[in-house]
Amino acid sequence: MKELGNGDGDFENRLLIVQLMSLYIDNFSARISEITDSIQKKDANALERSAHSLKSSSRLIGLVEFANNCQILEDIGFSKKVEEHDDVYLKIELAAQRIVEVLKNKIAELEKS
Amino acid sequence: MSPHKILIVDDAAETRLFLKSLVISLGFASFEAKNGLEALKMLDEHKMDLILLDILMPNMDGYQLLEKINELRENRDFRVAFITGIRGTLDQEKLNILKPDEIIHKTVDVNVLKNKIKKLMSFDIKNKREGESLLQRKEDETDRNIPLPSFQGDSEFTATITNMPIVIDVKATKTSPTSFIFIGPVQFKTGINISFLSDEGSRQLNREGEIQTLVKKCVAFGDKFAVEVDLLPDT
Repeated sequence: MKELGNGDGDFENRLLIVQLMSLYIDNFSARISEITDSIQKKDANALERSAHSLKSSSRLIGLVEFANNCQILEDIGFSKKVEEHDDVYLKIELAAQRIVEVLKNKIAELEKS
Repeated sequence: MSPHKILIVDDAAETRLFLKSLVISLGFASFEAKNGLEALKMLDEHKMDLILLDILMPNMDGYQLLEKINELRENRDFRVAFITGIRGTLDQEKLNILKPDEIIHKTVDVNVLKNKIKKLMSFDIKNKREGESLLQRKEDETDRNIPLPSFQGDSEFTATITNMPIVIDVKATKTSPTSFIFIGPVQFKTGINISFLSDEGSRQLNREGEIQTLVKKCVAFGDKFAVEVDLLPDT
């Protein structure tokens, strides 16, 4: 990455952010599916892990509120109370419908600058 | 000289990419594994200096992986840090058994994270582990009712170092009729002479007046130094 940026710190940072967001987009629908599956199967451990994974990645690219909702789902999985998922899962589902588009726009913006 | 090697173990591709970028920016070589099995394979093929290990992973979590690593190697010759996004308290019982060198939370500031990695890669941490091993061996040899380094029981004494440019008071623990360990604020070279004044030390070691010793070993122990000394024969 340093070679690509030619020592330009800002460029390197933008490049890293674009790469992180692209990776996130690539993995996003699979992670949402994992969460949905774990809820349907009432698998608390799987819910905890899948929510945790989505939370960490979301936080990394700055989706703080989305990450906070993932944290709530993770806590639900941890405390084995899968049945309490409804409210927060709905918020995550609604946000998920917009996230990919928002991130793609952000990537386009970063690539232009 | 080839750069030091850091293995990043995390099931999340973004985390691996981010940590890789950070590790490379610090001048280290980066290796990645997305699960425990890959990590074990990497460890078989490459000599690593540090492992950054996620805890919550599918199939084999970080605790299980570190347990495997500890089983495979008698004396770890690399450091291991858990890097975790777990919000609540970690499993303290497992941490006490597994003894990672550091636990870092993923929400930590990136500059703090860099400093922690640099510190883990520094000589001090390696010496700290040697210091802990040294004290653990001495604990095994002494009365088990006297834990080190909390310094309780009949083997403990305080002493004053008298032959240095400054007066240094230390807490010491007798480990044999002719040796003891003390924790002090400064580093001592192996082979140098240290003189102590200690009424209780003299009583325990059956000496009169100043206790003359030679430094046998000195290793970093946190922000202090663990020093093992042998008594010189009475003149």
